[in-house]
Amino acid sequence: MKLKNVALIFVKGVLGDAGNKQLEIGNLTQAKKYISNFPELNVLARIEPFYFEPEKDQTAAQSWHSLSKEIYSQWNKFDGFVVFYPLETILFAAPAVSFQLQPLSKPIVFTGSPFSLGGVKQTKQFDEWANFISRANLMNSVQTAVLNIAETVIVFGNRLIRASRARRAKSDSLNFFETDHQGLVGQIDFSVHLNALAKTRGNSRPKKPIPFEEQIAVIDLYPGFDQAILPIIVKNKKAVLVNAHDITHLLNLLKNISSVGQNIIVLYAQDGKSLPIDHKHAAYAKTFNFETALVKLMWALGRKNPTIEKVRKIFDSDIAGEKMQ
Amino acid sequence: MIAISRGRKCNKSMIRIYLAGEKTKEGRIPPVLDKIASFLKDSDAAVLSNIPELSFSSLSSAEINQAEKEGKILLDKMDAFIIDGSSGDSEIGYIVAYALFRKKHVLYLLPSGRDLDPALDHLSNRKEISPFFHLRHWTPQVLINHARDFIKLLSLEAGDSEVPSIKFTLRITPKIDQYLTFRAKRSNAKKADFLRDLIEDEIKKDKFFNKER
Repeated sequence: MKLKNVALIFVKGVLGDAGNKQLEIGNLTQAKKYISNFPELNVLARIEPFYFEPEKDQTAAQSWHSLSKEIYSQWNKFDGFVVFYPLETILFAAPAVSFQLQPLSKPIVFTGSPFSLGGVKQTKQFDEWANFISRANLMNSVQTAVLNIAETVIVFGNRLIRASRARRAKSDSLNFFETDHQGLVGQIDFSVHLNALAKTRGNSRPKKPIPFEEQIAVIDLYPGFDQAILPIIVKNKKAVLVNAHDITHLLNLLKNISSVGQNIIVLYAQDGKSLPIDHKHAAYAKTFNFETALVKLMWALGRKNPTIEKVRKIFDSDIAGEKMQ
Repeated sequence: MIAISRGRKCNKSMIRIYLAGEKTKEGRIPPVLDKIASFLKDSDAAVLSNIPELSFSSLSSAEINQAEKEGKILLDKMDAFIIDGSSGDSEIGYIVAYALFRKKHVLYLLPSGRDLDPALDHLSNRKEISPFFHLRHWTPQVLINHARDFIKLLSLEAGDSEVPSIKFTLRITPKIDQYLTFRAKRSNAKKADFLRDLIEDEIKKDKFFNKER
C-alpha cells in the first residue's frame, strides 16, 4: 500500500486526550505523543505532525494569515493537509484559509474536538465519548486528505462540508455542521465518498497568502437599530458589513453610512439572498453564512487600493465554492 | 458504496460481517472473497461488502437514515470484517484502520508468501490491537478453514458475553464488606453476583456508552 504524505497541524487551543482526560495540546511534543497513541492513523498516510501557535498579540485574522503561510510553505512536501482546530472559531478560520490558498490543487481538511477548553466540567463518561469522537473525526480527516479532492473542507461526524459553506447545525447529532446541496462535498458510510461536485486534484500552486484587512465595521441591522451611532462605528474603518435582518430601514442605513464617508458596504442577508436594494456603494455578499461573508470581505480588502467596484467584482466571483447561485 | 437493498435484511441478532476488497484489473470479483461469501451464505451471518455482488444482506433504510441523521458511520454497525489484504487500495486501509480503532475483529487474508504491509504490521503488534487483528495466509486448501475459525471465534465471543471470565481484584473497606454481606444475604445471592448486577444496571443507564455500541 503506497501511502501519501499528510501534514497534521495541531492548532493551539485544540483538545486532545491523554488517557481519558481533556488535554490542551500545547506544543509539538504533545502533538507527537497524541499521534503515537493513535497508531491507526499511520495506516492511512505518512503523517508528519506540526504545532501551530499564533504569535503573541496576534489577532485572529493575523493568525489565519500565518496559518495559511505555514501551509503554503509546506505545499510541495505533502499530498494533503489536516488542521486540527479549536471548534469555537473553525467557521471563520476554515473559509479564511480557503480564500488565502487559491487556486487549490490539494485538500485542506479542518476538523476538531466536540468539547471546549474551559467549558462546564464534564463527567468521565462524557470525556471518553468526546475523545472517541475526536479520534474518529481525525481518522476521517486523514482519509479525506489522501483522496482525489482539491477543496478546503470541514470533516465532522459523517459529512465533508465545503469550508466556505458550513454553519453550525441546529440538531443534536455528531454532525456539528450543516450545509446546502452545493456544500456537501462528501459523506462517510462504509468509507469516505466524494460527491460529484467535489473538485479534483491538479498541479497548480496557490498564490502567496495576503494579509487580511481587519478594520471593518460590522452592523447587525435589527428593528430598532439606532443609526445615530453610525459615525462612531464606521470611523477609521475600511468597509462596513451589514447583517441585514431589517430590510425596511436598509436603504436609509446605506444613505447614512455613505454620508459619513464610507464607500464600501457589503450586505449580507441570510442564505445569501439578494435584497431589493441598489446602491452605488453597496455589494451583496451572496454567501451561505455570515462568517464567510466577513472573512471574504477581509480578504478582498487585503488587496491594494480596494474600491467598491473591485469588492463587488470579488463578491460576484466564486472563489472557494462560497457563492450562492 | 452503501450495501443497497438486496437479499435479506440484517436483524440485530445476526452477526454482521463486512467483506472488503478490490475487483481485479479485469473487473472480476477477487476469488478469495467470492469463496468466503459463498461459505458465509449458508451461515447465520449477515454479509455486506464494498463489492456489491458480494453483499447478500443489507441494512434497512431506517437504520441507514438514522445513522446519517445522527452523524454516525455505517462501519460501526458491523460486528467483524474480512479483508482481502492483497488490495493496495486506500479504502481498504481505511476500513481496516477504522475497524481496529473500534476494536472490531478483523480477519486479514494474504496470499501465502506475501508479507504484511509494514504500517499494518506495526499497528497489529500493539498489545491493545493484536487481539482483534487476525492475519492469515491462505491457500485454496485452507481458506475456508480460516473463515470457519473466524466465525467460531465471533460466535464464541457473542455467546460468552454473559459469562464472567475476567479476574478482577478489588480491595474494600470493612464497612463496604459489611454492606455487601448484608445485601447479598438479603437477596440470597453471592457478593460478587450482587456487584456484577449493580454494574450491569449502570451499563444500561449509561447513554454515552450505549450510544457508541
